[in-house]
Amino acid sequence: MLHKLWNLCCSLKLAIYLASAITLLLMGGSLLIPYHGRIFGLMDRMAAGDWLQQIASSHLDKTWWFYLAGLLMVLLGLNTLFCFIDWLRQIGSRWRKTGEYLLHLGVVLILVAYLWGSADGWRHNGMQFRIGETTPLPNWPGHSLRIDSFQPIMSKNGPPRDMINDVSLLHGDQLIVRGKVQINQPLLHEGLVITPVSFGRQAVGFKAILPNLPPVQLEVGQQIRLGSGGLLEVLRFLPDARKKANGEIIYRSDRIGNPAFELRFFPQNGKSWQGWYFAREPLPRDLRRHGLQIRLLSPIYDSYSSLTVNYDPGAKLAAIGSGCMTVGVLLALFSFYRKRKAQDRPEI
Amino acid sequence: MTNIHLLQAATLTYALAVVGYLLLIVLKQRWLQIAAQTCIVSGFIMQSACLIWRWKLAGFLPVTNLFSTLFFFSWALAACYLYFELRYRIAASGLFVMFLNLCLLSVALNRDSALPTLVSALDTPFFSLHIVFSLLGYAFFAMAFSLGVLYIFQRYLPTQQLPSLSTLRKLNEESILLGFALFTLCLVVGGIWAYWAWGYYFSWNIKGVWSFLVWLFYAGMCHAKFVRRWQGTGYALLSIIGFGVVLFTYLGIGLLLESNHPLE
Ligand code: HEM
Repeated sequence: MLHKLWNLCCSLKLAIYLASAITLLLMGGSLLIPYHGRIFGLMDRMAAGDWLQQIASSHLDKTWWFYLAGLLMVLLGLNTLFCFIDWLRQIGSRWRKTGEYLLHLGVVLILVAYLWGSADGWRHNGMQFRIGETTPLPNWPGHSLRIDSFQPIMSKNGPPRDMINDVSLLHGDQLIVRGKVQINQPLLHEGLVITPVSFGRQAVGFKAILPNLPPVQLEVGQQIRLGSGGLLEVLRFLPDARKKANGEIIYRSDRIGNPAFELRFFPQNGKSWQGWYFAREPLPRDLRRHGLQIRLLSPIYDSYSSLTVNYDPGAKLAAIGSGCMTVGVLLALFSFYRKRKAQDRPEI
Repeated sequence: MTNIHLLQAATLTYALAVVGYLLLIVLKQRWLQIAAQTCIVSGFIMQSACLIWRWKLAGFLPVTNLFSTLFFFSWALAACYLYFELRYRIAASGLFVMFLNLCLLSVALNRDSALPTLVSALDTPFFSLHIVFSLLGYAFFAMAFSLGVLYIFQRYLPTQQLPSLSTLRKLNEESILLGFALFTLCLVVGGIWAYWAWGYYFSWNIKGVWSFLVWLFYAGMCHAKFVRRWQGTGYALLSIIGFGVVLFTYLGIGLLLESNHPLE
């Protein structure tokens, strides 16, 4: 009984059936990928485990094939592992097959690495970092990233030739690693990989004139002491905003369209006021009542660099698996030709 | 003379070789075989010179648009044919491959042959190797397709002009294994490149999935030859189906569907 079970686990026919079933499932399922971008377009932007939990599970009618193919792939991986173990048990007489079985081991390692990375990894795709600022990494509590400097290398026309980021990875205030991130030269650190995506500039506020003051910068966090003695604080800024019918203010785009500021105003005496000021509309009455006027001059831009920050704990194992596969496949070729030369192909 | 004139001349000699082999089947004259072989060798030399010329002009191995990959695929097919011809003297058995080669070149010659500018993300030896290994792998899969068709031909309409069934089968198995080995290297190198460029080594776009399927299919074929029932005709049929999968992955996806491996 046990012997039969072992034979099934090492069965070559089972491997062919599993591979055929996976092939057919993926052939059919993959044709849905281009037509359902909202579901499948996110697969590269998140770790597979997160995608399954957050997206795939609520669209089972279009993603069931993925679960099934994944399950069969795990079975094929186990099948391959058992074949490898079976070979190890007889290595004394079958050492000439080292290449073939190194290749099989490589397949198993890559599969384990992928599952590990899918379950324990995370991805931040195209995250925007303001130059010089420290930005926390949402998926890695206590850790943050700072772009110390950024330099794009432009081509005459078309996309930039390179984007050179000097990046520091921090844990609290402590520097963990510092390095360069460029096109095709990521920063690698214990499963973390940081690659450049794009860069740009974003409006973060306006230069403005207020009564009896030199020009000021209306930016988030600014507190402006007014000539009248009151205090004006900028809480939020949206370069292009829209007011919905229910009064909710929503973000529209990053371009200057209908700029809006959320302001808090503390008059010298009396109650404070907080609300939205749309630059294309008159100043709210409560502010005008205190003699406040705002004349916007020009937008203030800040540069940002957009990076992908992914963590894949299985990446090293996948690299080892690839190494095994590469050496294995070359050795397998060698042993194939040696066998041909010796004319010892039993099945012909 | 431009490099494209050289390619046109190579195409012409390949076409002459195909005619030579067709006549060989009818007239059975040995000199026709020698003439056809000479045509293929000289066509291959001209195409290789053209490839090196374009490589020098571009400053990088030009394999980044449809013209260049069709060109390289055709060069790889000719190289693959020469390997089998010089090693096993397969003669007219390579007819399909050379015919396929002519099809590729005629599509390529009708497209814009201007050298593409290189997008920075592709400016790495890993990308070039990824494409080179993949097209070399495809070339061996095409050879296996050709040998599979001939196997079925020989099985049901036997002729003295073709090698024996067991030789065709052995050559087919060798093609599959060589193609599989090259395609494995293509996936390994591609994975390293993707990890460095995008931060993940496998992309869930349709081209990525189908490349994995090509690999899995031919891995399956590497085993099917050990199963007695699949030997012979079954294996030949699988070689034909497999090449259909290859063609869809290489051309079909780019032409019919969207992917992050555009053809142009
Ligand atoms: C995706 C997974 C797999 C890949 C990529 C793979 C690949 C290969 C390759 C390339 C060969 C060499 C064929 C040749 O010498 O012509 C081979 C041989 C072999 N594989 Fe696999 N294989 C896989 C899974 C399996 C599984 C699951 C089994 C177990 C049932 C298995 C059992 C064997 C056996 C018994 C051989 C023959 C070795 C020999 O020549 O004695 N393989 N495999």
